[in-house]
Amino acid sequence: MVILATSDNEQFNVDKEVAERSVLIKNMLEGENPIALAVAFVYMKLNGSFIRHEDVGESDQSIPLPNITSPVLKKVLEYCEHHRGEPLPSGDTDNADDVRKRTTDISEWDQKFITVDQEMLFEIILAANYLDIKPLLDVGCKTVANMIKGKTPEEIRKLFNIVNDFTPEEEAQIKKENEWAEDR
Amino acid sequence: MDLPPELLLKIFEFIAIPTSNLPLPTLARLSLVNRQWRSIATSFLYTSILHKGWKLRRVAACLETLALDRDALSAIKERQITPESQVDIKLTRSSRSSAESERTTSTLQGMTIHQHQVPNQNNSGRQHPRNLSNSPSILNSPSYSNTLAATVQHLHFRLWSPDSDNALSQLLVHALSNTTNLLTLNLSMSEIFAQHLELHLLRTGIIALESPSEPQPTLLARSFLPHLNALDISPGFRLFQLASGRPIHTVSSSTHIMDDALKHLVPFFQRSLGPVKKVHFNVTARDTNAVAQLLRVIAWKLPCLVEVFFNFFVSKRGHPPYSPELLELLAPLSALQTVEILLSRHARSVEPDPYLYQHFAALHTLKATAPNVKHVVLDTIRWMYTSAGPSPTANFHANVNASTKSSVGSRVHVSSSMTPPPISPISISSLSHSPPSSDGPSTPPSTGVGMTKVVTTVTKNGEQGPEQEQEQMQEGQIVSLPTTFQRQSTPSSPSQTYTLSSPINPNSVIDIPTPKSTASFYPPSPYSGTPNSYAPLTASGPPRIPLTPTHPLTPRSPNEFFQTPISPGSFGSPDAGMEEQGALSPIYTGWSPLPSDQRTHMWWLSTYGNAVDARLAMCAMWGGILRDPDAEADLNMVETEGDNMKEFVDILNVIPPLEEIGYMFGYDMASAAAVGVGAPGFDMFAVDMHSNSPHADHFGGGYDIEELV
Repeated sequence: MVILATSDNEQFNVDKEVAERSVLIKNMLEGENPIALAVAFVYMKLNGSFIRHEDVGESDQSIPLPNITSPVLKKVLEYCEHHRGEPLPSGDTDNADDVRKRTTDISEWDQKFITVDQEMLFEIILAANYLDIKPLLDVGCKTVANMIKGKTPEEIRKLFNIVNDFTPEEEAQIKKENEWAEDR
Repeated sequence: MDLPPELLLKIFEFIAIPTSNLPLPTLARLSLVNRQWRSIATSFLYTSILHKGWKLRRVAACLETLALDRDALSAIKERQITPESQVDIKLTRSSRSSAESERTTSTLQGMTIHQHQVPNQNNSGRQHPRNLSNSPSILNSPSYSNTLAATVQHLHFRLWSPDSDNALSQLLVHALSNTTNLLTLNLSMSEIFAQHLELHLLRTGIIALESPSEPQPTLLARSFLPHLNALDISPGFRLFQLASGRPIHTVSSSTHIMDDALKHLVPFFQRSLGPVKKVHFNVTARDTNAVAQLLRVIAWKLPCLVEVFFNFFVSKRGHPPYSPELLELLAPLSALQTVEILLSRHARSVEPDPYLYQHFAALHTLKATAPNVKHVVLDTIRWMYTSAGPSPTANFHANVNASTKSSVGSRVHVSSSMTPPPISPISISSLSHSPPSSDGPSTPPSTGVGMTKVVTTVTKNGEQGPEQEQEQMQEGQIVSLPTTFQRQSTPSSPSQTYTLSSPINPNSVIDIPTPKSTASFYPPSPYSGTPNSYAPLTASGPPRIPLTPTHPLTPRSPNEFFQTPISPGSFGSPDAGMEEQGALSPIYTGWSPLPSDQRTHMWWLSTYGNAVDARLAMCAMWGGILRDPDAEADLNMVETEGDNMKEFVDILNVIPPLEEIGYMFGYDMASAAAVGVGAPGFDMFAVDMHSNSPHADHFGGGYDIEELV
């Protein structure tokens, strides 16, 4: 078992196989990512948490995840638990990447899993990115991509609460400069 | 939405990449969301400017947008776009002060372009050449300046139109002048377009006429693509001069370049700030000696190369075959990791190419001088062209005469063939606009960068030209046997092995003929004759010698097999070369084991219809396998018909650890399965059907042997 400690000082006992869906944790356990470990250590110490470097990876000590809150980690672990045993994405080959990118479909379970409020969706994406869980990151990004498709700029701004930092003139100019893209 | 840019980029990838064509309107809309989104959307919008499926006016408009991104080029643009060009591309900028809308008409290659001017916003006093507004472009405001073109980091421009009025090539130069952060540039264009582009760059002083030692480059030249690190140009080889003074580490082209022209470019590559680490060229050479000389020059002048790809083609017939020591010429490249060399010759060269295994000694030498080499591919091919060509409906297929592929290192591949890519009349015509030629030197279709190798022979089923018949090797014809057996049989330690056959002083000046004109950079087109001048060459190729063992090769211990001389009759048919050697055992004894840390892990052999070469390659493979107890062995038989399959059964009986048989182009599944049954220790029968296989609809993927038998 591995103990994961969130930024709000909650601890999760996780099966090692599940935790190792995260490349970051896997590397930490194998001692291959000392920098991440050191950063986490300093962060936790500054925030009042305590962890000893030499304890990381041992069953009775926790791995600090300073960028992740407990509700988010719970969701992430739910994903990892469901997908435990599945082969991890191989390396970073271009082919594998392309295939993943071209697979816009999201499995039924993943779709249900990722049906969360927008804030949680972004938190999951950030957590997946931090923990280096590529399949989860893909699911999150695909979901956002699907939300964006077919929407006007104004709708997108409204959906994601994005501030329009263009002046009207700039907007007109951008429309003009990209006119060629609309030309069929 | 508060996601870091890298995640936003990833989301955009899911929007843009899954479709074969970029969703341009969607990306255009996304660029209007806010500044951050615009920057990312722009990087996608302007990455691929592909003529395919695009109207020329769209290409022009896209380039124009990039070209207009900075007014510094206005003067040049004003000077170069003349009424005589009959192309009047309206360059407009918005104006806040002026609400007037101007409508202009441009004619581009017979098409009329209508452009509307939107309200202009200039207020800096700078004027656009055509739009006389006094206010500055918003693109030049501090918050906005250069965010368009400067955002573009990768540009793939493909345009096969001739650009007869010169307008697009000018626009491209202007656009490139603005993409100051461009990292990779991939230009695929017609020859005329390339020549226009070269002329523009010469005229503006961005590239020099001939020599890298010309006067200091102009300010414009220095600011032109200053961060470029990968250049892929097909054709337009003079553009490779851009390597000089820029951090270029990769130069590649998918079209053929003459050996002299490439040598001429080497000094420019030397001046790269990269340094150049990857070269990928298809080279048409005068003769095989020129190939060797070119390799020497490159190996000595570009010592940091880690990846080398050359597709050599000797255009004239009658030249001697490539030297089996060719790989040794790469010895100065100690950082080398990947080598792929395709040695092809004119089909009418009577002397056969060296067999694959004859290169093995050089391969070992290479391993010694370049300890990090992980992947070596060596192919030998002969091209065939005759006067009669295929009709538009002809059934094309590749016919590899004798080719070899091997990899060294953690994964070692040995094959006597390569995957035959299908080629259609459409794909052929797309390689060149010129029709095929029946006379003179021929240039094969280029091997695309990063692509599966292209066709070696274009064949029309069921026909054969008279010329070809005469030159075709007859069954039972003498096949020269390896001359390198003795070298292989006395392996030396890696550190002692390498000696250059003709050492070169790295400081010496190599006399490189300078091409007199742009045209000299380009090899003669293989398609400069009539469209129907491809050869009907179905029956061409090396001798198909029936394998009729005079005594069965029964399973025996590896050592026993290895040391037993095999009479020529054992491998079938009259083969004078084999008779001269008396036995094939030197192949085995000559195979030196690799150091333990460079152990061969897998051998992969495929045959391609040439039984003799296949057998010899297999022998070499066994040599490796028997000395490497950890090796896995895969046998992949490509386009091997039933007869050959049966011939292999006896041989396979003695291969110890054969684990998988791949069988492509399944003409005779039963025979293939029989091979599997005859090979002890193997348990997988992988069927990799080509789409034109008669069995393609029924099989695919891998099958357990039990399933088939």
